[in-house]
Amino acid sequence: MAVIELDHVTKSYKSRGRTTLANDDVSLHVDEGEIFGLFGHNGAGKTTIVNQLLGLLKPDSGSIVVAGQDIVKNRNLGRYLCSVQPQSKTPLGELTPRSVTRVMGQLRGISPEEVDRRTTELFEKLDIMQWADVQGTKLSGGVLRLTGFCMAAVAPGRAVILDEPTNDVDPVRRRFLWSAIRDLAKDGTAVVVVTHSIREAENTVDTMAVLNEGKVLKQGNARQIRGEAAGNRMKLEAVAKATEDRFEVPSWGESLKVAEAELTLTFERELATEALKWAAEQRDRGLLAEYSLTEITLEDMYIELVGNRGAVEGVR
Amino acid sequence: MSGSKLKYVIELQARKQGSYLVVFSIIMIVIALGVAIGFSYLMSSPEGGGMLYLATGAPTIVLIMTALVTVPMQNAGAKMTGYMDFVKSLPVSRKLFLIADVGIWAMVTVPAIAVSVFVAHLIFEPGYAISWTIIPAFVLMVLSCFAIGYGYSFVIPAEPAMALSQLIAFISLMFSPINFPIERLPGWVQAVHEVLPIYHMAEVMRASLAHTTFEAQPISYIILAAWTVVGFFGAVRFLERA
Repeated sequence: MAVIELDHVTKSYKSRGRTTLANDDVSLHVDEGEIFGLFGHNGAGKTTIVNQLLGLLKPDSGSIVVAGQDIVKNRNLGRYLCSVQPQSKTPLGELTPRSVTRVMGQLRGISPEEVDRRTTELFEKLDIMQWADVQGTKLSGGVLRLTGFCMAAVAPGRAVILDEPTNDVDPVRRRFLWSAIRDLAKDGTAVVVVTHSIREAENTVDTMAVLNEGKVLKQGNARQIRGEAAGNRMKLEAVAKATEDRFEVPSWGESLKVAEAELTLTFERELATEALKWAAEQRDRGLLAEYSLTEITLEDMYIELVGNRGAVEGVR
Repeated sequence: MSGSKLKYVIELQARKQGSYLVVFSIIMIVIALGVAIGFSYLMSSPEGGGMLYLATGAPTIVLIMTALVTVPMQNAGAKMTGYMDFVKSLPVSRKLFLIADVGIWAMVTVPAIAVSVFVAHLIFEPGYAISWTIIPAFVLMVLSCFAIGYGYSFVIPAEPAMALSQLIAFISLMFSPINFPIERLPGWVQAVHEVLPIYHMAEVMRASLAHTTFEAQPISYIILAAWTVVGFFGAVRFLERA
């Protein structure tokens, strides 16, 4: 059952006589127990969608329904129906992760015992128990961000929105976080993950949409989209020590790109041995350093879709 | 339902600021004593009516410094760090946030007002005569003061609001008829103060603390009530606005 339904949502901002279209005819559906990845680089319109779901912004046109309730007509309901981890680090002041998580749980109306149980469960899962009772002013950005996740996840309700949840978080705890996100969905919550870190999110999300300049460029089942994008292809990734024009594209190669000192070469899966041989030769000639063969990822598809500007500004 | 949620919003606001609130109430005590005792050095003979002006002006200064200077600074900071956006996304009525915050900051002013009046009485015996009207008067002054403070700091963008708070601090200390009679000011400044809330706050405070010496006109109460309505209207509008 769909928990979040956006239909033909358009939202523009006016400032100094100029109109910017932040969302252009966006339609998205997120089901119960589904993890939905909302991808796009900076300024793509992701946070505008989040703010409209929370009722903080009113769309120019279109409808937004959360758990059967019309958020456009009744904007105050948005923040009661969706728990959110905001994009910015929440300034906790002297509040500790435990006390602020407890307050959030109580505001959402769960019992004190349940709040304590959930808080312990989440803190242990994310391995932040040692900071549970440390004042917010003394916490690092990563711990503040994880606390933000716990504040949204302690009493998730029908829908949870996570805006860039992994920013500032160390690599080990990132894995714990993705696992905690999966747990939320397992309990039946609809989870929206807003991020530009596609590489990290792509193994977790069930469905996804790519947003660019306010428009949805692609959406659907993540595995299916990756399958379509990859087809029967693979890619060679390598550290490039020369510019693109110094490389000769081998006859079996499909496309060769060098960007930000990284070479990417795509080819048919059967030609993997050829590709390794080619890479070794280029390395001997001093044109490449480390190289590896990998699968085509959603991120590759994303970069192809939104172009290199996105790769430079949003993904890297 | 919302009553029990108010408890959590108070907890959130009070614990977020924590020790800062304690430090601030101590600073306010110092300021209040400073106004009552320190300003007495400005006068050649700290006796009679002049001393009573200072002693009854100090509590008003405390309220102004808290509600019109410190709280707006806090609010501007909260806007800039994104804390206001967080508050707006909480699953509670946003009016609770205002009620909780005004309550917390009003409590901060109480020790400073009580201590300064008590100490000034011990040292100078300026002639306090505390009337029962102190309680409704205090409530009205607190409401009007905080209404204006929250109102302007929410409605005006953060940086100009910070600048305005500094201006208010300076003007209220130096150019407001809080610590001296309004007649000493030039006519046009008097006219401005007839409309602004500061003079009327001082009048109401004086009448409550020394009712045998001073009397506040009904217009003072009316103007304060009007500012209360305008201020809270602005603050609530900002909070309820998406």
